[in-house]
Amino acid sequence: MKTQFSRKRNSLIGNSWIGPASLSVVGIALLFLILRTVAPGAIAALSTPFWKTGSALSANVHTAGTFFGNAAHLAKERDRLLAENATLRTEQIGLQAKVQDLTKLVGSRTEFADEILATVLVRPPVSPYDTFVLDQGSNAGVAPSMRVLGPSGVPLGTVESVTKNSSRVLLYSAPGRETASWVGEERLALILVGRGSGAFTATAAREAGVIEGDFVYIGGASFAPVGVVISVANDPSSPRSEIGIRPYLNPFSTTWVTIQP
Amino acid sequence: MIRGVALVLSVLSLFIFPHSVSAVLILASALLLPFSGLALGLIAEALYFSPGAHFLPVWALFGALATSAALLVHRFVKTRIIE
Repeated sequence: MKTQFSRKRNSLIGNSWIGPASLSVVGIALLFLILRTVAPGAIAALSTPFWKTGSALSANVHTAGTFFGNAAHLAKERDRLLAENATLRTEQIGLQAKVQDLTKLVGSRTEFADEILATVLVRPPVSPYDTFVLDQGSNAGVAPSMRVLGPSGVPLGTVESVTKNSSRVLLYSAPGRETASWVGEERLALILVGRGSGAFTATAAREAGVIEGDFVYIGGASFAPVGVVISVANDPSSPRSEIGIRPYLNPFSTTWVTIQP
Repeated sequence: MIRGVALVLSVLSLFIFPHSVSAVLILASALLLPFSGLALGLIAEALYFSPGAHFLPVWALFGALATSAALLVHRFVKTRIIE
């Protein structure tokens, strides 16, 4: 039996992998790692144009997709949103009046902190560790451990590291991250455990009365919820319930945030 | 040529595509150029690793695994025409 090697295929998966090309690729990777260690700001500066291009492409793909949408369906959705907007505006006027009345009665002990507005350069699912990279750093006053809030003040995470012109934010939903919180109108204390991609889980006593639709809050300057209970799993053999929580704000589509001390 | 295209696409995917797509492209790239798996894993860590997010550099390990798997494939699997 005669054996013949295919030249054509071997040129694709051959043994020329340990040549200058491989060495260059590994060299560039090591250069990136050294840069990250020695000058972390340089990595963000080098990557920013690519991240911005990626964000722009994602936005354009989404816009192009709406071209194929059903016009009647879109018109119906628009009408529904207009009606919802009008209701919310009325509700907001009522709440503002209530806040003013209460402030007159009891005074205000809350001093609004200075906030820093930042653009999200990269977010999940492009960023694999449930982190944001923001375009504001120590030059703008950002410091580690500062709180990061999304639109409407929804808590998202905390600043983990800072360079002069960028910062990295670790989201509360990072896998395994534990955060003290409370749930529902009874303000039941919970430990939220991040599950990645914005999702959380928690456990609570079965008798605690946690139900689907309850809002979950994190202590701090913002009173906006961080998530909504979507499932309460009761195992007959366990005295505790497993609670599934989805994020109130989708981190995949968050384009700007505010940073607070 | 195809190796270069796969490599460039994999590097760009780290900035543009969801990380699951990047993982698939890293695997494909490692199959064509084994050490690119390790290199791309290291680049992903340099771009995104955050000590509080995970205690292990998952992407560097994934890249190393992809490189090992690709090297095994290159070492033991040979394309041939049996007559």
